[in-house]
Amino acid sequence: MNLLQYFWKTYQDRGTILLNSKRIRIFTGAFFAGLVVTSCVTTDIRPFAEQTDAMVKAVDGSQQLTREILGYAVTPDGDFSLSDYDSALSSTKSALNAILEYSKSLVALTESEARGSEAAQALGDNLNGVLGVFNASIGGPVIAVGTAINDEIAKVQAQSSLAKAVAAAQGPVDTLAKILSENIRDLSGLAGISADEAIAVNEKTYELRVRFYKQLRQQEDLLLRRLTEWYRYTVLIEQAEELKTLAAHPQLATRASALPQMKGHESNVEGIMARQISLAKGAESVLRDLVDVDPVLSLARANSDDGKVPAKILADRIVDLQETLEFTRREIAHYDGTFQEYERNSKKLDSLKTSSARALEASAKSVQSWAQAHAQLEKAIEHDRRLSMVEFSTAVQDIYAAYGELGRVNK
Amino acid sequence: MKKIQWDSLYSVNDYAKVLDAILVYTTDAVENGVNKDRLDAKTLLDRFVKESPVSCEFLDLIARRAATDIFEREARLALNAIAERSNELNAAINGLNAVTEEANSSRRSIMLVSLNEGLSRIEKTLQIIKKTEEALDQPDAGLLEQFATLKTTIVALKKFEK
Repeated sequence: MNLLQYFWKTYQDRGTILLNSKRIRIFTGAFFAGLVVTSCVTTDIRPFAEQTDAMVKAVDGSQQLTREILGYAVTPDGDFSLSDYDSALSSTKSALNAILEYSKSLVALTESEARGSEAAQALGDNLNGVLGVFNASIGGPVIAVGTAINDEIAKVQAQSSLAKAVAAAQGPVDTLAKILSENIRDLSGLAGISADEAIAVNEKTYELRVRFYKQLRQQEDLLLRRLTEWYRYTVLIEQAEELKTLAAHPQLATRASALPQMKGHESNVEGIMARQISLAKGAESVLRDLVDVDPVLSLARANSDDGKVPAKILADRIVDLQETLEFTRREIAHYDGTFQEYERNSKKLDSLKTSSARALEASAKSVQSWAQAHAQLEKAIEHDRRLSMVEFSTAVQDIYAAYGELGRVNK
Repeated sequence: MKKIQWDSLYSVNDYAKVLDAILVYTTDAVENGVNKDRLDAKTLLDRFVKESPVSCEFLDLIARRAATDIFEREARLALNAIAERSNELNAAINGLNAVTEEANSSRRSIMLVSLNEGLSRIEKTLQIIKKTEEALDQPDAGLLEQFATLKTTIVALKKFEK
């Protein structure tokens, strides 16, 4: 409930008691005094406080990110550690705390007149209790006017203290902004080279295992391709043999039921055989390709009299390839965790590199904006303070005029 | 530094020559004090480790050590620059802390003065109303008595506040 509403409610509630003309004058004087004085201007500090809070969080966050990425770059045997970082940044941390405290003190200062007023109002409410129900109609406005005037005095005082504080702080704020910006610039360089070093350290740490893992993967791929070719060969041979057997079968019905793809051509034995020969040739071609790329089989073929790989050597080689594939897969499973770890680290470091660069850039901008906001705040406070003083003196004149009226009544 | 054709390197000797050239460039970069050149040197050393085959492991160790040295040197330079600003920073912190303390002190003072002045003004206003009540044809005796009690309470509270 604002002052105007308060007076109006009191007037409605206690109208019968206020019928006396002198009491009405008192009430009217208090009413106008209350109306006028509540208009004094105070600067709203909260947007600046919110901006300060955001800036401090941005700078602090970017410093934490830089520390994190530096942690990945330093090695236990190196002559550089994270404590060096903490030590160099300790003053910056203190600066951020000081900035936060300063911002809080400005907010508290602008709220001090409200708290003082609240205290006076609370006291007034207690005094009203002493007056009792009947006197509440008078006690209420009296206390309200008292606290309203008091409130405005406090506002002017607070505005004046605010102007003084912000003006005095502008120098330190400019210096802090300059140094914080320079520090952020150095931190950007540090974060960049730390990220590169961390990535290089990660590469080196996992280098041999990752290379081996990748070779295992390649080997697995190669073996799979050879065994797939072998499988293709065996399937083609089987199909060719099947056709050969069926083509020779005397009953057409058997041919038709066994070879659905030959339906309608059951009696075309020549056609079936042609298909069989094609399949067999295809199988030979696949085997030739397989032997060509396999050194063991190539050697066996070269050493054979008929230019073919002996069946036993071929069978042994296939078993050998299958065993090698199983071994390769066991090794892959063994190194899989390490490779995943390497991949995770690589992604994390890449992400940290990008995010720290962005965070530092953003924090540099926020420091500049904050310093500019502070300079603008100083101007706004000075403007509001002048305005507040003009309004306050007008209010005081109106209050005196109202009480002057009372003075004439009392004479 | 002349651009390295990594694809044209085959033997260990080829890689050794390239590393030698990179190290010469690195030494110059460290001695002439240009930040960008040092960072370029580190990038080349890191690339060397990545591009070289396993057979060049011993060269990798040299390259890696050189890259780490550059990193540590750059990190120290950055942190030294930050630490060197500490005195100026601390002076600004002290300046700001003084303003904060002054603002906090003003706030406490305003709250106290605000309360006391509030009481005084309530008291003065009550006096005016009391006089008005007394000037009426039929003043309310009970109300006047309550005013007296109220005044006593305010005086007591003001003393308590002090």
